[in-house]
Formats: sequence, C-alpha cells, structure tokens
Amino acid sequence: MNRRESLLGPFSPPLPPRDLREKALAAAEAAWEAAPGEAWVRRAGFTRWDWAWAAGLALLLLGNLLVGGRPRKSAAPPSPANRERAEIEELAGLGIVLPPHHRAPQRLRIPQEVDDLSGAAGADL
Amino acid sequence: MRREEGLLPVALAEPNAHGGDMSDERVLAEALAGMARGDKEAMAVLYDEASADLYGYALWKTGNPDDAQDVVQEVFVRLARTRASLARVSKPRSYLLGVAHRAAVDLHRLRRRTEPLEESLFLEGGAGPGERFAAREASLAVAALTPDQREIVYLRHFCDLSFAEIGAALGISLFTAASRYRLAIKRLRRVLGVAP
Repeated sequence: MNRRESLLGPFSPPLPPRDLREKALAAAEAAWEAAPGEAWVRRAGFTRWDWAWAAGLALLLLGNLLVGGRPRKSAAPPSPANRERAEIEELAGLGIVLPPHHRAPQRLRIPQEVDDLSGAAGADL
Repeated sequence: MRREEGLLPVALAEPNAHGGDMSDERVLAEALAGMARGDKEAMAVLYDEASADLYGYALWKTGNPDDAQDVVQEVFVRLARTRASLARVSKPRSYLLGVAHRAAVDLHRLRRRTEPLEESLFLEGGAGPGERFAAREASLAVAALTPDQREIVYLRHFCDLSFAEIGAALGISLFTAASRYRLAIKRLRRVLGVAP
C-alpha cells in the first residue's frame, strides 16, 4: 500500500486534554528534584558503563582481600642434610650426643655440658 | 461494514493528518539536550513538541484515555529521572515513543484492565455530520485491531516511522514490525470492506 494512501481517512487521534500538561510537568519536576545527585554525575561525564566497570573492579579487589594471596615462601625448603643437622643440634642441646657416624659431615659440634659439676666445690669428697 | 463513497477517501494530501506531528527531530534533540544540561524549561518545550504524538500513541496502545494520560505523565517522569543520558539520544522521536511503549507495558501489567474499549475514541475529526460519522466508522475499525497492531499502525501512519525505527522503539525485529503492520492493514480492509 502506498504510504500516501490511507484507509483511515483524514482523521486524527484526539489531542491530549489541556490539564495533562500541568500534571505531567509537575510530576516530572518532582522526579527531577528527587534525583539531584545526578548533577555531579553529569558534570563528571560518568555513564552507566563507568559505574559497571568500577563495580567490577571493586568486587575484584574485595575478593582478593577476602581470599588473600598465598604467603611468600622466604626460605628455601629444607634439604635432607639441613634437616639432619638441625636434628643433631636439637639433640645436642638436650645433652644427647650421637655416635660419630650420625654427625653431619660439614662440621662437628661438641655439645657443651651445661651441668658440669666436676670443678664445683665439694666434688673431691 | 460497507465503505460509503466519499466518506472514507483513500488518498490523502498529507501522509500524516495528525495535528500534533512530532515535526522536527532537531527541536526534540535540543530539548533533550537541554534537559541533560539541567535546564528544566526544556521539559516544557519537549512536552509542547511531543505530547500529542505520545498521547495518541498511548491511547491507541492502551485503549483507555485515563491510562493514556498516565502513560504520558510517566514518560516525562522517566525522562526527568534519566536526564543525564538524554544528550546521547540519536533518534529522539523513536526514543520517546520507545519510552512511551515501555511505560504502557508496565501500566498494563499493573492494571490489567478488562473493561471493553470505547470504540469511538481512536479517531476524530470532520466538520459535518457525514465526516464525523466516517470518523466514527474508522475508529470502530481501529478498535477491531489488537493493541500490538494498533500501535504499529499508529507509529507508521501518524509518526511516519520506518519499520526499523518501529522495531527499535518497540524492541522487536524489523520483520515482526512489518508483519504486524501487514496483518493490521489486511484486517482494516476487511472490516472497512475495502478491496485489497
């Protein structure tokens, strides 16, 4: 059908009632006043997509804070030789001296006998 | 209904006989941009330019004059709330009708009116009794359409939107818009007794 032809004749829909203008503008003004915070948003040029990106970034940061990162491992894992030396030293501290073949080959440590009373007074009795 | 010769002329001098034509996209765009800048007076300019078409669309969509007024009011409330984004509207006429469409859909969900349509409310005009009768007959024919068909006919005939613009405003595809329009015209022809 040619757009210039019409089944509906020369007739038009009715116009809005006169009092609708005042009602619509009053309602719009109330909505306008209720959203004053948008002024700074407009000045900054923020859009909804800016807010969406900011929200996503905030969630990422929050998630990272809550879950936390893995602690850094500052020390190297103990090697078997180091573990053995540590055990020998710990035992020596308790006054237990292991037979020579148990000692770490790097260095020999002669534990100090802390409760050596041989030179104390009264030991010759 | 038999079409009387001379009462329903087929050819029109103007494609859009509606007095409240959304005539100038530029004026609408400037009004929207003014609202975005914070100019409240721009709302009044926008109302004066767009209200006739918005009300006509809402009336054809809802079939109720009170609901149509509420839709127009709601359109301006929504524009006021989202005024920050109005400067970026590229097709103001289509945009405003899209806002009206969504407001009408929301209102229908809220109210769900079941009372019958006032069938003569869709069209008016004509000086003499003959023409007024013809206007009523045409309005009755429009009342026979579904709301979806009525809104497509309104947007195409009175707002002069393309099917692509109609689709964008209503959130449907171009093909759906064209299909609904074709069915609406077929139905109007049948009701009016006009040969295809």
